[in-house]
Amino acid sequence: MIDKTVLVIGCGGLGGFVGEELTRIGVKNLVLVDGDVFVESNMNRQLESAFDTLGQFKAEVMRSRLMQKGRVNVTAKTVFFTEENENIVASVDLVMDCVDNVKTRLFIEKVCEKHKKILVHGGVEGSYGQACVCFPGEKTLTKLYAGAEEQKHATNVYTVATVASMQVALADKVLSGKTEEVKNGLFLLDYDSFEIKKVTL
Amino acid sequence: MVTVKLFGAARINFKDKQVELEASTVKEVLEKLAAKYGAPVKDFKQFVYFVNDVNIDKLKMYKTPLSDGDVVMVISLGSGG
Repeated sequence: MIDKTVLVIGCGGLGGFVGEELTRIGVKNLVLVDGDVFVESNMNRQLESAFDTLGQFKAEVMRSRLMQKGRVNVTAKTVFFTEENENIVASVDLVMDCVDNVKTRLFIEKVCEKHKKILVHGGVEGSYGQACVCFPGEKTLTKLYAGAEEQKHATNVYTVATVASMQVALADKVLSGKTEEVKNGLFLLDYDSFEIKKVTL
Repeated sequence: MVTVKLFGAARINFKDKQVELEASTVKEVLEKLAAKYGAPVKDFKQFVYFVNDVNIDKLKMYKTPLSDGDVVMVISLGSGG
């Protein structure tokens, strides 16, 4: 077991696979945060969306499913991550950014900077995606998303699943203290050309 | 000539994977892309630029000089989850 507590913010596409894989690598404690419920349009890419979970809170569905898959303690918070509950970050070891918009991502980074927590970022768009580790003091996402316009291209399940796996692989490095191996790297996925590429942040 | 590779929404929006350009700075790349795709230069400032896999943030930003054979990556980060 990995005796750590990991906070997963967003339990949709990325968050669903991230929670699954964190459980499978043996993380002992997970905190899941998402105020959303499953709807039918989630079924093309969100792991726990199914006919029998439509209308149910994503975080709560994930909690009950993960408890069947590993000896993991899971806490589900069926709220969106805001100023009112940002203190959740203070008591965890690592934060996973699995949300679906730039504004919330930048807020998560701000809170992680405040509490000096490492953040593992993932984002997807169409057949593309990226993942990286954001260290306190570096304001990585604030710099990368500066001036960026919100895009809304349909994303397929294999892009989501691969980027989520990249996030968990990065988290595994961080949780085992191998931060040097992932520092300053931005990992890009391109299913249009079937490439995964590392560039220097 | 420098090779300019488009990634993510930059590729989706402009429907090109890669173009070859004559440019001596990253700023010139932005200007030539703007002219090629008929969009204002400011539209290209929403992307992140890497020269030979290094963020221009770590180099000289848009004044980063380019030489023949350099590869410029134009990256638009995915925001979905």
